[in-house]
Amino acid sequence: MPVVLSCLLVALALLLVWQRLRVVQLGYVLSTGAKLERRLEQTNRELKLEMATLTAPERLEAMARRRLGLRDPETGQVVRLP
Amino acid sequence: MTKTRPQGPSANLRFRLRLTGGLLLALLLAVALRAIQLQAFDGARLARLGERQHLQEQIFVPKRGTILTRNGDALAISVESKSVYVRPRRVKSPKKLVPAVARALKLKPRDVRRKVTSDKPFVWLKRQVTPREAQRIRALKLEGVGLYHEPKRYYPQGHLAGQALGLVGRDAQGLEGVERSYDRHIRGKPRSSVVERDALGRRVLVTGMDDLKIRPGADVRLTLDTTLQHLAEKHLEATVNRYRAKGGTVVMVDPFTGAILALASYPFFNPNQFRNQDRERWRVRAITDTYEPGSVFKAVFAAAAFEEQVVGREDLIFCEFGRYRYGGRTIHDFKEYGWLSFAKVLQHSSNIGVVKVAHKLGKERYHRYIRRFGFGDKTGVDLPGEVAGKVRPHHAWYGIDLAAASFGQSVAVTPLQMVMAFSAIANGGLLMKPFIVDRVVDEDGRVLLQNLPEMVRRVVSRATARTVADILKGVVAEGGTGTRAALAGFETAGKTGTSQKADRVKGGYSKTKRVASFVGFVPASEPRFVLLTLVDEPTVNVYGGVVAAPLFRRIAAPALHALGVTPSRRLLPEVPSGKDGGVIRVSGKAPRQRESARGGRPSLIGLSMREAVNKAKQHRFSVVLRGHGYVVDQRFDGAGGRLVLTLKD
Repeated sequence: MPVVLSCLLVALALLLVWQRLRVVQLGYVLSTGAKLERRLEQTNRELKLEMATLTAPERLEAMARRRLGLRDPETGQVVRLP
Repeated sequence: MTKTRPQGPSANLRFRLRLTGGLLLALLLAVALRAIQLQAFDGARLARLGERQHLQEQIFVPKRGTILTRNGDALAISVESKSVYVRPRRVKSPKKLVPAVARALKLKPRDVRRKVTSDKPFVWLKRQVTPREAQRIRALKLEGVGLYHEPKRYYPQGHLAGQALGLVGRDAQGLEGVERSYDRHIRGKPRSSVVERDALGRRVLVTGMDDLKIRPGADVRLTLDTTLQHLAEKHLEATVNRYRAKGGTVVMVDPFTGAILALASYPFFNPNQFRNQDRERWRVRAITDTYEPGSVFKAVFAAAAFEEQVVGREDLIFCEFGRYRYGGRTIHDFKEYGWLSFAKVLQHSSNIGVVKVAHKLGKERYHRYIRRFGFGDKTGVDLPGEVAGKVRPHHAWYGIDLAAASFGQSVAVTPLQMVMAFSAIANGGLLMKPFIVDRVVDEDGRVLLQNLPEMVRRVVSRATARTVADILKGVVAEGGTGTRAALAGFETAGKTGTSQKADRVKGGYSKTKRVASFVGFVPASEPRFVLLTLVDEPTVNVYGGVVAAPLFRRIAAPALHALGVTPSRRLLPEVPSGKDGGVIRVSGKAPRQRESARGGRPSLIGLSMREAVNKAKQHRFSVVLRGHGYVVDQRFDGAGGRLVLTLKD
């Protein structure tokens, strides 16, 4: 009886240790993931910033006029389709 | 173990007890000595080692939320950037470090030395360095010098809506504009927490996932429209320069909701470089500056007069041929008029005609309407720094004051108040509360706050508002003062104004300084926006009808296209049909093509208009298009070197 009991105790202790280890290990996995998330989020923001800079109306208008030779439409030149 | 009887301690046992006791004591002593050694002699060094390896107190500054236009274009966005700090206590040899750091960051060695030898535990060497500077610092691998990640605010559209956006201080606090009024939402919650790291420097989670996430501040979506804002700024700048004015303001509002669609002040303000710019430029002039509106105010007066039924639109008023004494002063008109209907009085902007009706209305009643239209009160717009303007109480109106107020002098209003009053006329009599933020949305897309249209009060009846709007159409029509604001294809209503500026030095009014303005809405019967254009101290010409009215047209015409409002065919000038009807000429330099036309003529039949024009351009033909749809016939006009295409749907 005492042998079984102490065996059980040891097993429980080992389980506890194993559990703690898993927690720490998973913590590392999570923090690596979080780091990646942060980096991707940062990239995303940088890209958004770049997009906003590139699509600034002032820039687009200048390009449309200079490169494509577009002009403001005259009265009646705009036809709106239903 | 053998059992001993507890019969008085034998010599042997006593010896063994002493031995054990002595041994334990010696061990204890050894532990104590070691403790003293660690604590007293090596303490500082070990603590430093441990702290670096294990516990780090970090302050997390969340990134500020993004500010977007209603179209979803980012106006302000925070991106992580790096700052360089030094922990002076960790620096071993300042002599070697100072010149290296100074070179890497382009700082004066003297300043670096002062910071490195300071007795503080943590000192910034340089905030928000460029990626290259960060790279150089990293390459130096100096003990005690490190990089700290902190967010930096960018305004990718430059000066677009700069004043309305405001600016942000170095520690990510909103200082002006929307950045300030919504700082609570945009900023997010900064927090500091102790981060535990293991021997390898990896992060150990102390309380779980929650530790990892620094939630950025919430995003703010404005009511401003990218295109409309751009149009407003572009044309405002051109007009201010053309008339060599001091500045100008444009405000565009949706009259039915009170949403601000465009809000521009010139000179512009670029929040990216606010440190290099005059503080004067930060202000949102449409709410922080007042002006005397001049004749534009006659629209407000007319609404009051109609609502109180002291005049009908066709009632005739004698305009005294341009000179009239009232309240001890002589009032002049721009031109000499005899009998005019009240509608014509407004159309020609006769001061005398208005003053006569004002006398009938009386100062008490008129004052009440001025206040009901919102003048003298803040509009309650969600931007900081708004002023209420100045409307003196009616019992303090003497002599000329009633007359002056009827044509918009002696009252000080903000441009936004003026726009909101006109919105009430445009929308059938309701004074709305203006707003510039549509909603605040957190990172997960949850709406934290939404501004809904809010009515302040009914100012005049629907019928009165209709009548005034109708008369204001006359101002822009043939014979009115605002004809240059007229838009082809749309019924436009509005009022011009030219006012003298109060002379703050001498008192009274300045002889030369004027404010030219125009406020109008379009299409008159179903307005999509109310637009105010104001030019401050123009010099080439000072009249609202000449300076501000064309600016209205220049902004309003493309704005209506952008909003997708179809012009009424009835109002469009007749397009000549027949021979040259609907001809679109495409010319200009065609891009150089490698596979240039090998002498042959391309067949364009069956192509859509766009494809055909593209292809023709590739072959360096200029094109004349007849009709629209798909190409059904092509003809080469050898003489002009042109390709004539007939298109059909």
